[in-house]
Amino acid sequence: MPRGLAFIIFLPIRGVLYAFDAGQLRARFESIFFNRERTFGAFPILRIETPFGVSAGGTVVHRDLTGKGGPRLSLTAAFGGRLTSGVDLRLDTGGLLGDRNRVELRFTYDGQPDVRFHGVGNTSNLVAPSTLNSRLDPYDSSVSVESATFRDRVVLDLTPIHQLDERVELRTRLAWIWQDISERDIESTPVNVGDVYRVDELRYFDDPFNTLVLEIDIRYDSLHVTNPVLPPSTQSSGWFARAFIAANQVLARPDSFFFRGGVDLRRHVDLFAGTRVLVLRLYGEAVGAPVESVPVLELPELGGPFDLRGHRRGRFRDQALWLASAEYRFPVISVLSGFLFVDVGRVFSRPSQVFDAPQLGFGGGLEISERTTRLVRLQVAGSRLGNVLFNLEIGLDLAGPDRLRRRW
Amino acid sequence: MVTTSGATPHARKQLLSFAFVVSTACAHGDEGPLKTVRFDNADVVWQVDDRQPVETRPSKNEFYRNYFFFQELLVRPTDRALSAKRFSRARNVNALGEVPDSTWFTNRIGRRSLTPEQIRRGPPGDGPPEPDGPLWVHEAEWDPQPPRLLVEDPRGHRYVLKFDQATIPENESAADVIVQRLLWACGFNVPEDDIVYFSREALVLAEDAVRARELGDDVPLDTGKLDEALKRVARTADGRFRGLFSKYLPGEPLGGYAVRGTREGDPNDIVPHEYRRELRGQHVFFAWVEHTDVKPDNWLDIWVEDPPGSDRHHVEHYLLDFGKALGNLAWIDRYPEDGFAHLFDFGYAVPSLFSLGLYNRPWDAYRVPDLRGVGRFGISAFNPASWKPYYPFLPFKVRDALDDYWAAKIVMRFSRAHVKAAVDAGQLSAAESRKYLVDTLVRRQRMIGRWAFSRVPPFERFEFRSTKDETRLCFFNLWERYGFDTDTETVLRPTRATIHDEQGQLIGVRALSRAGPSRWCTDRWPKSWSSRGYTIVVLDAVHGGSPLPPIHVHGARAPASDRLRVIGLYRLRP
Repeated sequence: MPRGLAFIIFLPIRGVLYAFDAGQLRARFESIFFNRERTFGAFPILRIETPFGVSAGGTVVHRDLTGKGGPRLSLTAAFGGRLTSGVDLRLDTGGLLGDRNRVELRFTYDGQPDVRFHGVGNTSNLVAPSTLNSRLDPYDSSVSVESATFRDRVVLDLTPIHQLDERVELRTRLAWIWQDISERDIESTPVNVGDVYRVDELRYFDDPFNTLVLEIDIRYDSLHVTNPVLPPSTQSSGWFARAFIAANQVLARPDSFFFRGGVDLRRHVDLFAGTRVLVLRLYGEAVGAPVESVPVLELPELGGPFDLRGHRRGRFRDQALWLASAEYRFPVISVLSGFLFVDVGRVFSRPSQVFDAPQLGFGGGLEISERTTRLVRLQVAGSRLGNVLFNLEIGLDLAGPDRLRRRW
Repeated sequence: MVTTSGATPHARKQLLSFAFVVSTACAHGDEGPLKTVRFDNADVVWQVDDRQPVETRPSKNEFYRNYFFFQELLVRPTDRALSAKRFSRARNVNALGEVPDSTWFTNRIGRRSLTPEQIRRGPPGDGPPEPDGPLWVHEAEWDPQPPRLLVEDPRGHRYVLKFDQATIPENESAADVIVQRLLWACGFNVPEDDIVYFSREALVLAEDAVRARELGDDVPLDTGKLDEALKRVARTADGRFRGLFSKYLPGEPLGGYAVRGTREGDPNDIVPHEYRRELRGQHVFFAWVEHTDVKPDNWLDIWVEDPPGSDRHHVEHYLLDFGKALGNLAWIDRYPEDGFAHLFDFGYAVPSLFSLGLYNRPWDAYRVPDLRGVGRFGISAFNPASWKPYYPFLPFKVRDALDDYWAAKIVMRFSRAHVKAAVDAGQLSAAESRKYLVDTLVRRQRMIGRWAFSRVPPFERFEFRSTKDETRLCFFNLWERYGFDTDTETVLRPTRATIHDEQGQLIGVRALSRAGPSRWCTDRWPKSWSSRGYTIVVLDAVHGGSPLPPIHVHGARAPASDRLRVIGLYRLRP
């Protein structure tokens, strides 16, 4: 009887695997979605993030437009979850300008119907909308309410990238950004931002605006494996450091120039055998202007699946932030590994607030990787405030928090 | 159907009847083998004729990688656990526990003398192509990098031509040839593999040259595309290619043999594969050379004409593709568990997960010298008992100490000169690498011998020495012969011999004494003890003070000479 039960349990998986292998489904999939030289093709992306749900999409890539190791093109489109729709088109000169220089041209559109807004500041006191007697001042309130706003955004980037040496990269980014931040036109949970916050005090709210950005971004990357039989995705040891400063000018608006700058410092420490790795991270970011003069969704923010995990995206916003993170990564077997983390940080607008009541996030998860790429990342994070957030990403290229995540 | 060749019909009967009496012994466990196991008074069978004509070509076995992995990792172990099935001893052995020659295995260094030069040359055949060519390229594929070509030389011989990856020059080609030589010498069927250095000019596109693709949508191959693909492979300083030429096997390929059961449509294949000693024993051979890439598409059954040009066929069984052996799978696939764990191994995954990585796995601190052409192949973490291939393999799961012992005996027959000859065939350019591989293979060989011989008394070459009135039993102790008795704690020796009649009744007890270097003999017993002919001598042994499972040596009077001779060995399992 137990053998029969086991047979029945395994039967569907066996059937699927048999069909997959006997039908050469992978090869057939590749023949449909990739060209013969495997330079042009498509692959899917899937993300599940609490509380936004599932977003799905795909990426089309052409790794060699001219057939001579030249320009690369990628187009990613995603729908659902945080996005009504999102499109990311990148054109990269690849090897066309030599080994050390390339230029990236990027066009991005994303429509986000559910950008969370909890007011500005580090307040932990999250209350229900029903407890409010009047609408809150978004910049100065002792309590916070989870609300949602709508954002449409178009970004056009031109980024020359110069490789100074094997480890150091200099990026000069020129970007034009168009944004529309406004009330949502649907009734749902959480409440619309205008129902609980005095949005008339938010600059550029319900008032589409254009921003011109000039950014200098320098990166140092010495992450590597310490054991040659480990896959490169393990990144056992080394440093990743990034410093950037950007001049932002909102076009055709008075008093709208501001600087943004930041430093991201990561240290991977090989605790044992190249596979037990401690990832320490320090991150700081600030805008060089009063919070009231910066588009509110452009303020440095904490929360989400990467920065101050265990808190909702956009949970904390203010003029500046710091974040310290420790993540312990350990192997399970072969392609499967696990991680545990603690994030501490806060947003602030005055130096006296820097170390006052920092926020805490903690959790762990599992990752499935192949040799060079993480394929699946499953993360569960919690905080002292009682959130338990679940995050699952499935895709062929999860930038994640490791190297190239960009803050707008 | 099994028949014997070069042996009497009686000998054939002996092989089959031996299997029968052993199973009887298992069924009547209370009585024990002393009461139940008997051997025919016949010559020992050393060849099985499984080359009887197979009228119809058996169907081809396809290898479905993911399906196979899931079956072997989860489905079958679960079924075995729930069915509580016990796997018995190997079934294709002769009265001495040895594997007779067959389409699977040919006793070479285990039973006969091989010179180092024979090992350096490898299996006899036509030899590699001339480096000057021309080598006509008929087919190429390079989705799995680097490219593999199907080439034909002026003699009309066809080869699969493989190259080393540019990042690890010499590794795969050297490993393939070295391991191919060693496994051939052990007794397995392997293709002719050789390394040849040649220039680009030697490769000439044939008119029908195509680039093969997985779904069969082949595309014409031109010189530009071939040159582009060849940029990915290693070349020598003077621009030549180092190619591994693997000669096409004559006959029609039928795919790999099944992990369990027998091949449908092959009436010669009567012993379920999980009960074949040479397949179970591969655990030891493969552990020795770190050949972890064990899966059906690295085995190949061939439907061969016998003799060539006739319409008679039978099935021969080959091993293929050893390029990831000698620790190269760890390098190529970036797989640190190579040799220690299956692709997904619950035995390591569960403690690693629940200890949050604090569980220290045997490969974590495993390092080897960084030498040109050498994979992660060493001794510091090597344990022949716990060695594992990449995929689970049923014959390894159900093997027993006797299978390990049989294989270890063969491994121990290689001298350093034999090993060096195999390594030389790999044509590694660095002398330091060659020396390291020889040293490592010899050290692993001795680790295997010490492990396998410590579980089964390694007593061999039994013979009854009779005079007119007295008889005694003599044999060699391999533990001493190979120098494992380095101190008193590691002493392994026989302690006592009890003499029994055909019914298993005790007749007398005899002590043993040394009769030469590593040779032992019982004290003499009167001929009257063996007057009825069938005699069983039970040999007890100790290792470091602990008893080992005894050996039952069965003797009977040869019909022609009336002299007492050994007709069978029954080794108890630990």
